[in-house]
Amino acid sequence: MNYIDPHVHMVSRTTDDYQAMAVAGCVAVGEPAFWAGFDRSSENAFEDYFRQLTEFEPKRARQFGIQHFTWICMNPKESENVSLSRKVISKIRPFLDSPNVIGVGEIGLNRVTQNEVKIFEEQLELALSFKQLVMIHTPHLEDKLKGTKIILRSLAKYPEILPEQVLVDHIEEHTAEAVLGNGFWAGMTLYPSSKMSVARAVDVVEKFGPERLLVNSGGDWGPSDPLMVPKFGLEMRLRGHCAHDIQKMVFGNPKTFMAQSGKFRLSQ
Amino acid sequence: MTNPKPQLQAVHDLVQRYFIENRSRVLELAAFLDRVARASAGQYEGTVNTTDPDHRMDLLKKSLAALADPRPDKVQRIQILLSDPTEAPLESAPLEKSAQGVPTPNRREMIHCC
Repeated sequence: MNYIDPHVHMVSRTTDDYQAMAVAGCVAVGEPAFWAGFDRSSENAFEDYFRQLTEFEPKRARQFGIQHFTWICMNPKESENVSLSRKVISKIRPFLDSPNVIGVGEIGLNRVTQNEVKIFEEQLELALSFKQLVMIHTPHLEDKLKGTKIILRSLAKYPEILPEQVLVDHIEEHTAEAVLGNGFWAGMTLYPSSKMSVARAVDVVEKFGPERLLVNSGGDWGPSDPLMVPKFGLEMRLRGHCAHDIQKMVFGNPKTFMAQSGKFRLSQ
Repeated sequence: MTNPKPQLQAVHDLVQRYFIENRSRVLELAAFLDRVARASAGQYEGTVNTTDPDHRMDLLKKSLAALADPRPDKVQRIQILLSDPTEAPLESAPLEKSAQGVPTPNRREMIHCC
């Protein structure tokens, strides 16, 4: 069964992972801009990273028949530095024209500070002004509930936002209802041993239904597995879900969301 | 749109599918608590015999008590127990760039027992 991984940081993965994903049925990935694992020294470092996302990663993915799409932004983990953030934001516009850039992301909050909220809202405004899809990072662990509430309050300040063009990612059991109830897409990032698991993600699908729900493997700096999306599909199958619903979760839903960017067209 | 209703919904089938891995999780938790107790008693080289409570362990134990609570939606209640209950963004960033798993004690005082 073909699948799409809508949120996976391939810059942190080896080329072997692309091959393994292709063997497992991956036909496309979405890779949002994120933290390097350390704080970058200047806006030029971000510009180099954006070039990696728009020039190098698509070539690396193509070797295995995977289409690579990406999102550009100033990430939440470095947003506390407002001055640097604004310099980085000023560099984003030209990259929005790149053929594989489908939106602004992953913006959001990290430790939920006033500066992070400021930069989050400035990037929402950027996305709106250039009619871009938005991908949002909700904070991890103890910060998730509070951060998600504040993110939803920020989104509500912009009535011109189309909820169906916004993906609120890393949702868990205690944030799913608020995100879905406000009409946004909700992403679940699946981890092998921390945070959201495959089994709990299927529980969420069974509780809320598959509409506007996505799953992804994240591939960030903690222990992660680039095959979590097909493993989620297997879990659904073992629980007796039908092929139609599985296909919707691992392929149909990400395609529907990402195709709202006119640049997302699958070659197969 | 109705929620998908998979065929594998019998209680016996669910227990059959998930029992062993969850039995293992219970043993891992028990082993972790024993390990912490041994370290607190000074049984590891370099550790100090201490009775100082670690606020993370306090919340972990409350979470375990919530598991024994027969009410439904255990995951949601434990998620909230382990969440920062405050509502306003911080004026400045904390020292830790990453979240720690439980709210800091001064924010935790606002938590009502689940």
